Amino acid sequence: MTTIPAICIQFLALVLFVLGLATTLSRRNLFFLLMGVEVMLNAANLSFVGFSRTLPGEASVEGLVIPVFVIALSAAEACVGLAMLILVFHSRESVDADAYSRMKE
Amino acid sequence: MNQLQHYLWLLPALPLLGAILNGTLSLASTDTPNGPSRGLSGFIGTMASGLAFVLTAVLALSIRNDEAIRQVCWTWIDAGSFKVNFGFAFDSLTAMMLLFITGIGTLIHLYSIGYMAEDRGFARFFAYLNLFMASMIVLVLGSNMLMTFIGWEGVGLCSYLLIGFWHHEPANGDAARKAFLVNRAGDLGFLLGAFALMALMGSNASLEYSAIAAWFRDSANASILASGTGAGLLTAACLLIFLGCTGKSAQIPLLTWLPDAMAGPTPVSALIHAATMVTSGVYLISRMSDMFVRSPLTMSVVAGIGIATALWAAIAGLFQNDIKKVLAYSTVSQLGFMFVAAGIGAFDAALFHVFTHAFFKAALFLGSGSVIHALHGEQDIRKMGGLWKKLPLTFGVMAAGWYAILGLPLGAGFWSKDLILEKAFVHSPLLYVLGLSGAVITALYMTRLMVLTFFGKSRDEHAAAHAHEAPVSMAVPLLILGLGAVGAGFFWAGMIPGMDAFQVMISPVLSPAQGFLSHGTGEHHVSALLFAAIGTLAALVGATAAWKIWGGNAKVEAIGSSAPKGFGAHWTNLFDYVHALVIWPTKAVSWIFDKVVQTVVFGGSIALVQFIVELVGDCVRSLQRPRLRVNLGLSLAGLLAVLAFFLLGAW
Repeated sequence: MTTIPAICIQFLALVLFVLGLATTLSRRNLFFLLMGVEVMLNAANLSFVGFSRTLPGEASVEGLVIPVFVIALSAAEACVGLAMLILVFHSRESVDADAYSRMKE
Repeated sequence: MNQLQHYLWLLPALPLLGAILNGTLSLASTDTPNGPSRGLSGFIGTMASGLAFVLTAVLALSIRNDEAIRQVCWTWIDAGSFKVNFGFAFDSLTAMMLLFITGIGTLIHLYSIGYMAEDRGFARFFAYLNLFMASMIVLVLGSNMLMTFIGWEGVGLCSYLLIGFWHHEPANGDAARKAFLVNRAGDLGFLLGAFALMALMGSNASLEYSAIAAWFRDSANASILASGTGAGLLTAACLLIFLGCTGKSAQIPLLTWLPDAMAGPTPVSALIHAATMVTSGVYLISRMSDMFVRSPLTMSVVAGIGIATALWAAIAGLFQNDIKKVLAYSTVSQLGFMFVAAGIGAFDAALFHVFTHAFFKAALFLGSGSVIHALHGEQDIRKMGGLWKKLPLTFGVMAAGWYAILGLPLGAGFWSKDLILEKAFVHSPLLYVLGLSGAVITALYMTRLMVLTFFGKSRDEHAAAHAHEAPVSMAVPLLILGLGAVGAGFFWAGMIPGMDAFQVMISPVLSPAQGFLSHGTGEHHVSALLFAAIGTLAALVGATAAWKIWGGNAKVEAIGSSAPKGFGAHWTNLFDYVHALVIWPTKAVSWIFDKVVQTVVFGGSIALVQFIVELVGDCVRSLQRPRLRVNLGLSLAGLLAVLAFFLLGAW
């Protein structure tokens, strides 16, 4: 079984993170914003898992445990975020983030 | 040392408590129909002052002449080697000052009960009087210059409050403000003088009188005083502190406030503007005599200013028609004599004149108050006359004061003023001749005052018909002060052996300084009897001349206000003109500051700051867009900038 070099995993995580960031910054659709955030979170997860293979002992366990928490957190975040999105959509009839710039009205 | 040192703080605290109680009474009775209870208020006020007198007497009897009892309440300023205590010191000089301050103060409190009885602000008046007593006690009891300065400012404040006591009359408020502002000019001199003194003493700087005296007496410091900078600083310190004294003691050039201060009630004029506060300048110079004697230039200035003031004010006294104004100029003139004595190094003689003057001038002022009271507010002596039959007691007391101030044999002024003239002769015959002519003019204006007030025919029958003698509370202080005017001189009757209790008492404090001056010149022996004879002759000449001019039924017409006219007015206002020379440039400078500095410099710099803030604000506001992605991008850029700063920077 060939092992993937650790540095490759980190590169992949970096690419994923930048993709997620680019999505968040460039898209106006709120769904894509949330997706971009999810991609960035998962890029971080991937980075943790990658390090768990290279680091010794206890640190390697931490690299496996933290992604579990992050998954739970991102699930909760998506849950709340989508719920709010639906509520706001009802009043604005739009999923454009810039359309929500006058929320206090 | 004894246990009494723990009670020094009570001396100022008792009158202060009286002031607080009376102030409360005054406030509490604002809305009542009759005003405050006269009995309660007067009792509190007089007791507060009287208890302070009793305590002073106990303390004075319990110390030896050459010891001082001290109490340090707390350390006030502690900055490295420089320390100032909130402390009191009680030595024989303080004892002497406090005895007559509290003694005469108590009598005048008692007198005020009668004099102010019909005044709505009775309790307020006693509150101010008690506050004045507390301040005056702090002034002379303080163990360092800063404590004295508290009292110095306190008496200035009370003087302001009491001159403007009847503030419904705008002129009284003007007089009060004038007194306050002129005194401020002097106070600035006091402070700057203290700073100059601290600069002179260098690393040993202290404001404690005992430390200052010790520093100057220490021969190791003579070289500092001999150096150019040291001599300059010493002269500056002495002159500036003397400037403070001229403000408080109404000497040239800061004397214009005292005659105006007669706008206050007469007991105030007697207590503050004749007997006690105005003598604090003489006290301060005596207290710092070790410093002053080492600056011959300042001593000459003090003596010169003193004699000039004495003569000028005596002549001004001749032109006045207001009974209190005559006495006010007389006070200025007598204070001039005290400064002459201080300037020639006879500090004990100066203080003795302070002591006797307090009695006879208080008697004269209270007597004039009794006349004004009897005539329902009339103060113009041209409208009086023939009052001696109506007011025999007042006449007797004022005659005693007249006898004392003229320096006729065995009166109080006979001992103190002749002593000053005698010492002046030893110092410089010219000074003596000028002083003697001052004495002649004193006799002139005082006799004029007495003749116009009490003799001849009454020039205002209506007012005289209703004249009545003072009530008991006014008569008792009058009698005591009248006796004092005659008898106070016997505490230092130079010609009678053994009658020198006053000199023996205060000499431990003053002898080092006086010894420094007389060192090397030797003792001059002059015939005291001869001087007494010449002095008496001078007084008699003045009195006789005044009797010839104004006696009998000379025509004195009262036209218009009591203010002098023509040459007299110009002479009287001489130093107001001098003040104007200072006031006009000050006003011009303030105008320039108002129009140029205020608008251009300050206005311009404020506008500039405003412009910059607006500019930056506008720039930054354009970044603050309601766009989620812009905000996110900017915060990311900020995060990257911070990361780059820490990763790539010096850290």
